[in-house]
Amino acid sequence: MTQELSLWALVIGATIPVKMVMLILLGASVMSWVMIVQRGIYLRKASSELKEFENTFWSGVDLNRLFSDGGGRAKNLPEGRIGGVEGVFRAGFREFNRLNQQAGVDPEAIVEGTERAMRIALSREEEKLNTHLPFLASVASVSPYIGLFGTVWGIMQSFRGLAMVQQATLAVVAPGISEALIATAMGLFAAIPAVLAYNRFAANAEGLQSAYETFAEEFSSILHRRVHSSQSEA
Amino acid sequence: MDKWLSYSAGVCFSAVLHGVLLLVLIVGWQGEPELRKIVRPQYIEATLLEIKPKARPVPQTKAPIKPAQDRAEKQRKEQELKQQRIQEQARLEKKSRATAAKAKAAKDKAVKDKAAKDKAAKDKAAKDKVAKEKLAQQNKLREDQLLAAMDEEQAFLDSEEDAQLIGSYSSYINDRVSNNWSRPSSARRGMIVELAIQLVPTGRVVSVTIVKSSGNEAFDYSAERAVRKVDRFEKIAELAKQDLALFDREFRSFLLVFNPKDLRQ
Repeated sequence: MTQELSLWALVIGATIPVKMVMLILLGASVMSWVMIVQRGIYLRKASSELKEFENTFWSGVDLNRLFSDGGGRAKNLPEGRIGGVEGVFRAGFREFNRLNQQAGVDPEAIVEGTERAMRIALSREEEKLNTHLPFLASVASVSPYIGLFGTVWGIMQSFRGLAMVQQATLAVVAPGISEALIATAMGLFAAIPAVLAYNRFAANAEGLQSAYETFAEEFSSILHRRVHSSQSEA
Repeated sequence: MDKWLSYSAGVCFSAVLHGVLLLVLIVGWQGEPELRKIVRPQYIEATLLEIKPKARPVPQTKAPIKPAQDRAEKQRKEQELKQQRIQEQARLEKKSRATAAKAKAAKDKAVKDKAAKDKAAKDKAAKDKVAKEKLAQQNKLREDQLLAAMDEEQAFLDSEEDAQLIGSYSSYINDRVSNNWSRPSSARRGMIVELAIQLVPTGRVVSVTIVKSSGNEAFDYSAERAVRKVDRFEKIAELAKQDLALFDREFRSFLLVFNPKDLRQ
């Protein structure tokens, strides 16, 4: 093994600080990949749900039925609540109905209350969309530095070893430097997917968020119209 | 439910990915160094090609010398054999004469015996003298031959060395001439003029004559003027100082083939 100088032998032969750096980077890489897959699944699901819900919403379905259907589905979910764009819709519609049933409520107040409820739901959705993204961002930005630290430390050690040797040959320093460079390689290995995933997921989350907001605006304008028409009828 | 599913999928994927990575690290992926080995022999071939032309002249140098040495040796052997034969003959003759003298002595007794003895002594002296002379001659001949062979070898080595020297000097001459040459407008590619140039040991040009015209007078004249303009070849002067014999042989008077594209002596 020492003759072949395989990568595994280098990892095993590394000094303790370098080993710790490698361990941290391995952990960061594992975690970031877990996040990447989880985020990928979540965001894909959220965008497909958005498309589906918007299709049904604008197909001219009765809003009361849509709400009650959603309520039936929500009971089967573990959280007991539907997320995504439908969650925004449900929060707004529930508040609207509650306020509308109370007598003598100002139509402006009804619309305002509905908007507030939807804003709360929106911010909750935003939070959900952006979970783990800061983690990916920090892995992306910090792990190259951690790797570099390991490398610098390893090279320092190998040069210190070189100072004690009478005849300095390349063979004395080369394994140490090679071993140290593994840390940088690992840092980059952790960082590159994290950077890519962060950029992609941040863009996706932003897009979804603006789609939710647009929907909320449109929905509130529909409710506004409905309040005023019912008020004028009455 | 959904959340856990997505998380567990993430954990599985991550674990598999890093497991594969570790496996690759442990097992390693070799095979690249073997590819490099195939490339190397080409370099070796290239170096071999360079050696070949150098190696070729060596047998050539030995070839002419060896026969000369062989010849010299053969001749020497033959002469030795001849000498031995002559000596033997002399001895035989001496013996026969001695026996004859004895017979005569038995017949003619003391008077004739003395005469015979004198004659034998005279004969012997004469024969010895002849043999000695011959031996000396042969020795001289052998020495001469040996010297000639050595001279020949030395001359060959010198000529090889000289050939390089001459080459470098002739290219120097070409450079000087072509640097001083001003191209006439009528000069065309492929025009060649041969100039006979005479130098003195100081490197100065004594005479320039056109031996073979290019067919274009202006071109011929421009070449001649270029040589005159050079006036003095400094390096040739240095050469003459070092090796006057070589200068006499090669540069005292020589032909310059003036070819604007490719100048050669």
